[in-house]
Amino acid sequence: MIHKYRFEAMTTPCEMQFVCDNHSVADACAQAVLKETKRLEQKYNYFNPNSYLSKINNRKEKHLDSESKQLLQRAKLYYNKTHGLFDITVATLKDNFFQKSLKEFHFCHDKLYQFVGCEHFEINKNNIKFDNEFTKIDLGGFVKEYAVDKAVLILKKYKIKSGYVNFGGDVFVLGKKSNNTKYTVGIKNPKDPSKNILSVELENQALTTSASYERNYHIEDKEFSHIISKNPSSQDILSATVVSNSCVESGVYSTVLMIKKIDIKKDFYLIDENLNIIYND
Amino acid sequence: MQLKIPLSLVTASLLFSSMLKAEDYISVQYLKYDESGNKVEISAPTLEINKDFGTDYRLNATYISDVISGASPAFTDTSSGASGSGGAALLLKDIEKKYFVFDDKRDSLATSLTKRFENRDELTTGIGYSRENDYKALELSTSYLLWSDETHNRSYNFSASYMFNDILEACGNNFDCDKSTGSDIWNTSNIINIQVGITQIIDRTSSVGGSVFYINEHGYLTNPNYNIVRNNGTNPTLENESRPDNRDGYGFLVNYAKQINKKITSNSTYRFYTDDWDIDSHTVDSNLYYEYNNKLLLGFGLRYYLQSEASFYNGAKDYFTTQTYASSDDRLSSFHTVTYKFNIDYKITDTFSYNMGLNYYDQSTNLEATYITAGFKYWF
Amino acid sequence: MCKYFVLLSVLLIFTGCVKEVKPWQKAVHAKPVMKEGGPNSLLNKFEQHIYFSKEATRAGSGVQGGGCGCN
Repeated sequence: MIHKYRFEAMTTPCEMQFVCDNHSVADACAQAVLKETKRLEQKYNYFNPNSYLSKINNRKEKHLDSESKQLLQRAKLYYNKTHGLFDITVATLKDNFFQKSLKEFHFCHDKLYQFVGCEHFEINKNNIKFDNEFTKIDLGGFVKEYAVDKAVLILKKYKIKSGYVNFGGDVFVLGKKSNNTKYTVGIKNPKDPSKNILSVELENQALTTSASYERNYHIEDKEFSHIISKNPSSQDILSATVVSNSCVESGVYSTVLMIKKIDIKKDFYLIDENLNIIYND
Repeated sequence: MQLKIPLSLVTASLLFSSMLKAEDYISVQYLKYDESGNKVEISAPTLEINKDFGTDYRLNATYISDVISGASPAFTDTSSGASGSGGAALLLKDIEKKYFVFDDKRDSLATSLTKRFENRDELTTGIGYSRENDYKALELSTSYLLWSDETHNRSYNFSASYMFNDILEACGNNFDCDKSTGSDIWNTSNIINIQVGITQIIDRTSSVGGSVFYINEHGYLTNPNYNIVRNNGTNPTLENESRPDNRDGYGFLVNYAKQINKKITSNSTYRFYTDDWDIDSHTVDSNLYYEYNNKLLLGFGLRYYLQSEASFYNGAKDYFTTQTYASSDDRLSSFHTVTYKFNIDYKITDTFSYNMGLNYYDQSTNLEATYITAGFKYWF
Repeated sequence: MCKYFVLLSVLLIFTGCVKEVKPWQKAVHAKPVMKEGGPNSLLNKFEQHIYFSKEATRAGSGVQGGGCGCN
C-alpha cells in the first residue's frame, strides 16, 4: 500500500510517499518526519529572532551542539571546495535587499562586502567565534536538504524500502516502485512551472534544483536573485539540477551551478534561457 | 486528488418512471474514468438485466465490477524545480494523507422487484450489496408509485432506503494491522434516505416534477485515509481527521421535461441541499436531446454544481488547534464544478442499440476528470 | 422545512392549471428522453455515483443511490 503525506515546513510544501503495509507504522513514520522537520525549521530559522541560529548571528550564543557543529563544518568545507561559490555567509548582505533605493543598496553593499566569507568564523572545540559583528550565517540553502536526508534516515529506521521525500523540489528517492520500475522525477520548465521539461529516473539518489527566479527581490526596477553571491552570475542559466547520493551535496552543487558552471563529478542538468538542456550523465 | 472512487451499487429503479411497455432487456455498459494529473484510472464494466413477468412483475438486476489501477509509468512520480510562486509565504492548499492500493477490485450487485397493482400503482423493493477491500454495504429500499386517478396525469412517489455500511479503519494489505488483537478494525455507519415527490403531466409535450428529500447519516463518518495537522507552528502532530457522528440533510428537486419540437427535447433538473454540517449546495443539470432520425439520438448536457464548505473544514495548514471536528478533505470545501456531457445512442435494429459518451468534469479545486462510456442494449 | 411544503403546494396549485391529457395523446411522454434522469438510467446512475464520490451532496437522485466507501 502506498501512503502519501503532505505538510508545510520551512515555508515550502513538503511531500512524502512510501510503500508500507501497515497504516499505523506509516503514520508514525510520517509523524516522526514532520516533527523532525519542524524541529530543524525552528532551530535554524534565520528570520525568527528567537531561533538558535539567530542567537548565534546576534552573538548571544556561541556554544555549538554536535548537530550544529557538524553542519557548520560541512558548510565551511563546501565553501573551500567550491572556492567560495557556496557560501553560507552571504546572508551578511541579505538585509540590504530591503533597501528602498539602488543608491542605498550600493552604499551598504560596499560596506558589508568585506565581511562576507566563511573565513570570518572559526570553530574551536564546541564554540563558534566570529572576527567581526557583521558576518551572518544563513543555513537556508542547506537545512532543507539536510532535513530531506534526515527524513530518509527516519524512513529507513521504520524499515521503509521504497518511496521518496520531496521538500519543495529537494528530492530523495529510496528504492524502486512496487512494480520494480524506478521512480521518475520531473524537472519543471522554468518558464512554465506547471509542466515538466524532462524527467529523470532515480534509485537511492538525491536530486535538487536551483532556480533563480523563484524568490527574487526587487529594488526599483532591478531584479536580484535570492541566490546571493560574491561572484556575479556569468551565464544565463534559468535552473540547475544535480543528482548525487545526498540531498545536501546536490543542494550545494545546484546552487553553485547557478552561479558558475564548474566541473562536478555528478550528473547535472542545466536549463538556459532558450530552454536548451545542458547535461552530463 | 481522491484516489479512491468506488463505484458500486446501481439499480435501474427510477423515481418517476412509468413502465408502460414490456421492457425485457440486457444492457452492458463500460465506463472509464481518468483524473488528469493523477495516476489513477477506473474501469467499470456493468451488466444489467431487466425482465417482466406477465404484466404485473418486473425484476431488475445489476452487477458492477470495477477495477482501480495505479500509476502508469509514463507519468512522473514527483517533480523538482521552482513552483512559480514567488515570495517566502508559500501556502499549501491542503494537508492530506492518502493511501491507495494498486489494482483494487470492487464488486456490487443490486436487485429490485416491482409489483404493479390493478390500478397500475407500483411497489418496488430492492436489495443491494457492495464490497471493496475496506468497505462493505448492504442497502434495503422500497418505493411506492401512486397514481392520482385513472387518467394517469399525476403521480406521487414515496421512497425510503436504509443502508448499513462497514468501513475498515485501519489495516494493511494483508489485514494484520492490529497487532494487539490480530483483528481488523471495522466501524459502522447507517444511512436513512426518504424522498417524496409528485410528477405532473402538463400537456402533450411537457411534464414537471418536484420532490423533497431527507437524508441522515449516523455512525463512523470520518474518512480513515485523511488526516490533518494540529498546532502546525509550535508542536505539530499528524492526526486522523475527525467528523461528527451524525449528519442531517434535506432538500428539494424540481424537474422539467419538454419536447420542444419533433426532434428536440429538453430535460432539466434543479436540486437544492442543505445540512447541519453547514454544507449547502445547488445543482443545475440541463440536457438537450436531438433525435436526428429514428435511429440516432444525440444528447448534450451541462451540469453546474455549487457547494459551500463544512463548518469544520479548513484547508489552511495552521488552522487546527484544539477543535474537536476537523477535516482538510477538499470534498468538504466550497467549490463549484462544471460537467460537459455528450452522448450518442444508435439503434441498429429495433432490438439492439449501442451508445457512446464523452464527458468532462471540472472542479474548481483543481480536480479534472474525463469519463467515457460505451455500451449496448439488447431487447429480447 | 416550511419552504419545502410551500414548494409542494405551489406545484400542486400549478398542476391545477394543467390540461387533461388523454392516454392516446401521451406518445411523447413514453419516450425515454422525457424520463427524469435521462434516457439511459444506468449511465445516469454511474454519473451520480461519480458526483457522490467527488462532492459532498449525497441525496436527491432517487432513493437507491448505491453504496460507496467515499466517506
